[in-house]
Amino acid sequence: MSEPFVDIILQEMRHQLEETLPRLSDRLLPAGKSLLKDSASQLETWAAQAASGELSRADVDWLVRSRLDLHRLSALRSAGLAQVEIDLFRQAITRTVIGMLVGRIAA
Amino acid sequence: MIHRCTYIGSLVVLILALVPVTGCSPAIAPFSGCAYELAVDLKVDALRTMERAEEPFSKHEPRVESLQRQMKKAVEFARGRPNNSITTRQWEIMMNPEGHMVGGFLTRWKQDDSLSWGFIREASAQIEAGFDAIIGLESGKIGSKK
Repeated sequence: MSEPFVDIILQEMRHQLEETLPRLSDRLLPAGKSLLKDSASQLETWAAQAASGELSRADVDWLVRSRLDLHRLSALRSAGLAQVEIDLFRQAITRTVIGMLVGRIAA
Repeated sequence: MIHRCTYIGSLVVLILALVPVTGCSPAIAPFSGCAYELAVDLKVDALRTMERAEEPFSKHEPRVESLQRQMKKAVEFARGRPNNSITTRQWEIMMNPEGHMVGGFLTRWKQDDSLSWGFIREASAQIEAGFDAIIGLESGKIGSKK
């Protein structure tokens, strides 16, 4: 096996990982963080609305549970977007390997 | 010539070794314009239907049943696409009649006959964000024109 070839593949994988990982955290972390922050202030708002009679206790109970469902939906979105990034990484590596193989055979 | 054949053979072995990394089957289904449109349409229809929940459920029952049918279609469409289990799970949460998204809202409306405007407003905001999570995943998939 040609060592430079392996080195180039590994270098390409490292390069792709360096590009993929920050993009992954940029896409995933802000959404989860802002939802958690919003949840705290949302609970305070609902408590105030319950105190003023705008919402019943049953309403608040339902809304808190709906917040949990919303967190689950958001977590699933994050998991899905992470899979998209993994697919993009795999595609980039595949392109590189095939491109190099074709180049070497043609040479 | 022999050297060249050995070299190409080595490259093939390397490619096979990389299959776990570069595997042919994608981890998640690609973007579907149809799924995206379905989700956007359902978001609009659901929120419009929920706005009417101050009125008696019986007055809007046909509209609610139509919405439930559309949502069942969305789940079945999601379920039928390969590598689409995450989106399918999202739709199941959204329409679960015992949950706390659209399905649960409609159940509560039916049980209580009418709901307060304060509750409708707050629940709508939650459910709108829930739809955005479904739409956000679809539009983030490979092949969408972001």
